[in-house]
Amino acid sequence: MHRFEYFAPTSLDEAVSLLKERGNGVKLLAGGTDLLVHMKEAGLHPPVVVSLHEVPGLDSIEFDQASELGVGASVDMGEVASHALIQQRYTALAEGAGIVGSVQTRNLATIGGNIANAAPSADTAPPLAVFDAVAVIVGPAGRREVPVIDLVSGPGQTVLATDEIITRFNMPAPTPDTGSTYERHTPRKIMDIAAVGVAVRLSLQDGKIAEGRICLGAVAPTIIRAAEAEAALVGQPPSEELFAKAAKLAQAASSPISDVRGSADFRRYLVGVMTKRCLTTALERADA
Amino acid sequence: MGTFSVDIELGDEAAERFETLSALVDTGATYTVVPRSVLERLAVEPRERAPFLLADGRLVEQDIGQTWIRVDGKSVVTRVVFGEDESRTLVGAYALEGLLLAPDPVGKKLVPVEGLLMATTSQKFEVNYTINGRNYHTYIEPNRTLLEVVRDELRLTGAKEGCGTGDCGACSMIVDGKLVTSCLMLAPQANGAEITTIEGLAENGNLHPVQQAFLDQGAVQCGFCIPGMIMAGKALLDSNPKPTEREIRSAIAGNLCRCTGYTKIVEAISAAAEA
Repeated sequence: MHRFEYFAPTSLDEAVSLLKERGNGVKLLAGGTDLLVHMKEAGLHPPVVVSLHEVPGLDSIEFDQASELGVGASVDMGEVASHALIQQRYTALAEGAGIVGSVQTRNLATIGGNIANAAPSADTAPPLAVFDAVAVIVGPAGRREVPVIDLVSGPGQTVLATDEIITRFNMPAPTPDTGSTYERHTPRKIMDIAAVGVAVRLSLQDGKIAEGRICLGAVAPTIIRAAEAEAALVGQPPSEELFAKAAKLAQAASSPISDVRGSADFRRYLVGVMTKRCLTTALERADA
Repeated sequence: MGTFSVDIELGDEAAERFETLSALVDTGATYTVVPRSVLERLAVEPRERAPFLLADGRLVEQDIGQTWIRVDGKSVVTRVVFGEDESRTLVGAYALEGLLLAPDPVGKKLVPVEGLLMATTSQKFEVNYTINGRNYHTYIEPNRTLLEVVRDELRLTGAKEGCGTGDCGACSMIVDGKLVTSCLMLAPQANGAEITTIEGLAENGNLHPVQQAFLDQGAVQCGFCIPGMIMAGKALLDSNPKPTEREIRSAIAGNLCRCTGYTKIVEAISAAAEA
């Protein structure tokens, strides 16, 4: 790796002022599983690296029964995946975090980094989106909140200013009869990047779908919500025909590219298969 | 790296007497070595004795003096080691740095290079690690990975660098209780950490059960991936003492064995769990 100046601020304020002072070219270091690879192999040579490891308060998971779940941006994938409450009530998120990389890289990679890195295939992004997660962002002007679905503006691009830091993700508590899941398709089972990722949440009330969320990864420049498919679900009793219809609408919402992990046609086909399968799994879990 | 010869002029400290010699440029040599008889002809006196580590691992004490060295019209004062009379004159890196020359092993000649002033701008960080229960303290540049520092500075070479990008798991260590790929951690990031490497698994001369099982099951082929595999196996059994085969395979999914000896590796971890 090329030389760089390294800072390990011990407060969020200090981190934000460093980013503000040093401007473009500063890279934030969280887990390092993307940043270090880019610095070693992809020609990224930032003059300054600011580590978030010594900044307190970013690595906690808090759950408030009445309102919401908060996951600090520095919480690693291993912790998200093994957290009992997340497994139980935010199942899709535990599944997404649990499938990233390997044991070793899950112990390093953070949820904040997975989102800020802004890959269309990020495995925790569709799960966060189906739980209507909001990112808490801190910058020189203070604090603002941006829904995760609106945070990424293109491959590798976010709406974050260079001096802003994601500190936390907040998600409202799902209603009691809620089920969710995340599935991805990869050419090889583990240590690969999603060719297609699908997250689904179904919240039931009186035998009907009160709220449905379908979020697709790796089939557009950013993660996308299949809005028409979601609208088709609302107020309906779940059925195979309904799920087939929603899967078709989700396919129509996708705009995949052809690359080494699959052709555009194959990916669009998978969106249909996987959306239907995810709806079925989410329903089973909501009923359970 | 190759060696080649150049003509050098060697002079006494006062630069009054010079002698022309054919010298070997060896890219592996740090110091310039000159036969004692030549130095005596130039009336160069030994100034001190210092220990030198030879390529074969032997430590020897040698006399050191100071001379002028002139190559391609450039000259500089350098330290020289008093060599055996029958040995050849060697030009080392220390003199070449002073002359701003570098060996071109392909063209077999010395070429002018720019001096490096980088050392004055590089940040050094003090780091403390507890590795296998022992305290280590060193100063490192921040662009070095934990793996590089543990291997190259602290000389614990059990962990290996395969890919350098977190895909192969050969560099696996347990840092503050978590199995990580140490090639993806900056060295200052791990300051203050408790680290376990493969060197720390055996206790009082007894191998760790996972290590013993790898031997008993014949799970080792070329051996390069094994330190990482054993660390991954140990980390699994620490949190899940009776794993299923599927859980074992998932736990070592981030460890590549290019001999493809996975079956025996999985059997060894399974046997260690039953032991």
